[in-house]
Amino acid sequence: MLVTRQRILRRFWYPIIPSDRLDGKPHPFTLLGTNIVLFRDARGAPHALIDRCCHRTARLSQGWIEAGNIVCPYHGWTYAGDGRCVRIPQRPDGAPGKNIAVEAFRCCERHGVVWVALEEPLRDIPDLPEYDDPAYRRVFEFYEPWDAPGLRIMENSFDNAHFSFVHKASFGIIDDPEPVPPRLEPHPAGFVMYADVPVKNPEIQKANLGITADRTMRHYEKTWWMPFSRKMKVTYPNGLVHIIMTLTAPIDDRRSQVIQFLLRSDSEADAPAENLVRFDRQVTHEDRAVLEQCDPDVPLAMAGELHMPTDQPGLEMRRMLARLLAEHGEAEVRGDHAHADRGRLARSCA
Amino acid sequence: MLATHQPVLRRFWYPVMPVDRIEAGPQPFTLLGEKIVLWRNADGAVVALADRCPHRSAALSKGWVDGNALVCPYHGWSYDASGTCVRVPQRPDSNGLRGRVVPSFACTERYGHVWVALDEPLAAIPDWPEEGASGYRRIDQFYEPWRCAGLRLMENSFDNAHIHFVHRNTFGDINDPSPPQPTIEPLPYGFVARSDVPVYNSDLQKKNLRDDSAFTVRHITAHWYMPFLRRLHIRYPSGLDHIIITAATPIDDERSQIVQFCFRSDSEADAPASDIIAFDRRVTEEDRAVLEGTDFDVPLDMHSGVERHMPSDQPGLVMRRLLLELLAAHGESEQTGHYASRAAAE
Repeated sequence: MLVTRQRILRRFWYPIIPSDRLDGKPHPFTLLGTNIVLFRDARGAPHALIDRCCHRTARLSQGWIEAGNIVCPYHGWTYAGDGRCVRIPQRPDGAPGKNIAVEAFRCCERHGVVWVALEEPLRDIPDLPEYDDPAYRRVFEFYEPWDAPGLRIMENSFDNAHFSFVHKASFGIIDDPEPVPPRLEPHPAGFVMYADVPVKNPEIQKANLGITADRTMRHYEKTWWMPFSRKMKVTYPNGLVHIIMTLTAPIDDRRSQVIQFLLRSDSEADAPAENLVRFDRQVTHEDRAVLEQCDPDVPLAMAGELHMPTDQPGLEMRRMLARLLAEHGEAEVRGDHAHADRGRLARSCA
Repeated sequence: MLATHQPVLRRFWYPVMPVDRIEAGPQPFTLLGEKIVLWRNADGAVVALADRCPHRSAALSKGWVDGNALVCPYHGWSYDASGTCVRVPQRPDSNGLRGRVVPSFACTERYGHVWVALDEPLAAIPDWPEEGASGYRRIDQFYEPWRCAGLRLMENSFDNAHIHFVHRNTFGDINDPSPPQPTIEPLPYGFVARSDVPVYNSDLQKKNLRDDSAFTVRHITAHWYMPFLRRLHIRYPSGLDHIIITAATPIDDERSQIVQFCFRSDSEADAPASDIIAFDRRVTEEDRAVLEGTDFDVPLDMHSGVERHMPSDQPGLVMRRLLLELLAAHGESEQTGHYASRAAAE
């Protein structure tokens, strides 16, 4: 599936940037291949416009903010958050003519993140009650582009069979490669998956978790936020809750912008944030190294790749996405190379 | 307009390279998507051939010059200035091949640069009297590729309204954004625009112009030579001439090779060339940052709805109209991706 070619994907909210990183300057972003610019108005509300002045196509993101409006760097045409041109400095009174505007997109702020939808969203941004619950602290982990599509990142995150291999140096047990089948349940955001997974407990994690044993158990409750985000809630045997929010936005057919933060039921005195980030970074680097080498054009149909029972959550994502496309009259769009790959795979399996 | 899709644009002279670069050996260049090789033969002529050996398609620019011939690096087949193969080393008894087997292009040397026209030129290379005239010096300034269409740079250079914003840190006064309107006089294959532009006089310019005023006036006589060449003659109140020649030679649809040099009526003792280049460099970088963010597929039809306009855009809109007329006169219509992409969206 080439995400920029599936129009229905424009009808979701995507997490673009952590709120505190959108300051007084315009911020350029590419969402599903569309160049946009984000900025805050005088009241601090975020806005997203097409990053292209309607006069001579200059990048508005190279301009600056004046009284909550964005000023084009080329001739100073100035736009409000709703895309309306409010000033043309070369006109005697500065007043623009009627109907001069650039395209504006829906933009909002939730869970400490600025979100954008290119077209009318099919559903709301899912709730995250722990974000506002004082029993949880927030720990920012990272904000960076990955050279991998969101679907690969999502499948990976719900795939309990990769721990023993990809994460053998951190928490995976390579001698125990057969995961217990997870339980999937419907959820308004996508689906929720429950699983209990035994893991290694290295020194850094002993301190982070307050668990001294060499192995421990993770009780997973992972929620897929269709299409490309997840909430991963891990409860440890001692009652500690470690929630990893991994929110991704599709830049283009290959790349994703990833925001990751934690919600933890303990305190900084129990486990310094720095050490939590250090361990999770080790784990995400392990994933990233593998995912960035996979084919970005993930097939939604069963054909095209081989499968095993533990792939079930990922296959469910593919099924649900295929159904979404079908419901909106779209066929899956794939790159030219995909046909060649399919042919090769068919021959090698024959 | 997608430049490589308009054949009539092949019928203009473009400066492609400073001559000193070809003294070291054959050099490759891409002009309107056409790969060419530039070299100087033993007779001293500059030559432009297609950069492709007809034998196994090797790049001739990777080869070397032997007398009046260019030698292919792959098997040594050799070509003269007309593109005729004069030697096939594997057939020592022959004198090469019959016919011109490598396309050759009009090529000449002027103003310290090699100029090429891919098809028969419609207009001559302009005569600039300052070249070699006493009282004037020529300073070579820039030679670099930009990721933008040539037309964007041409419009920018005749657009008095961008100065206040793009050049607010060098010579534009952002507090006075109303642009002076130039007068435009048509010429064959181009026009000349005249205007007086008040500008801020920075510290570096105070030295370069030998003028301590906080503000000065540029008396501008600017020539546009179709399609992507301009001469910007700035005369300062002191009588000093600063004449900038800028070409945006089209590499392909998205990229232009910027060739810039200037003529000055003062001497090295008055203002060192390095300081003059330094100021023009800052100004040029300001333009480049903005222009490389623009869409290379500039719409020629001003009513296409792709772009909005204002009165100060007039010089650029005249360029668009004259280019449309040029296309029509040669049986072409504007080739663009805008209508296709809009149709796809609808």
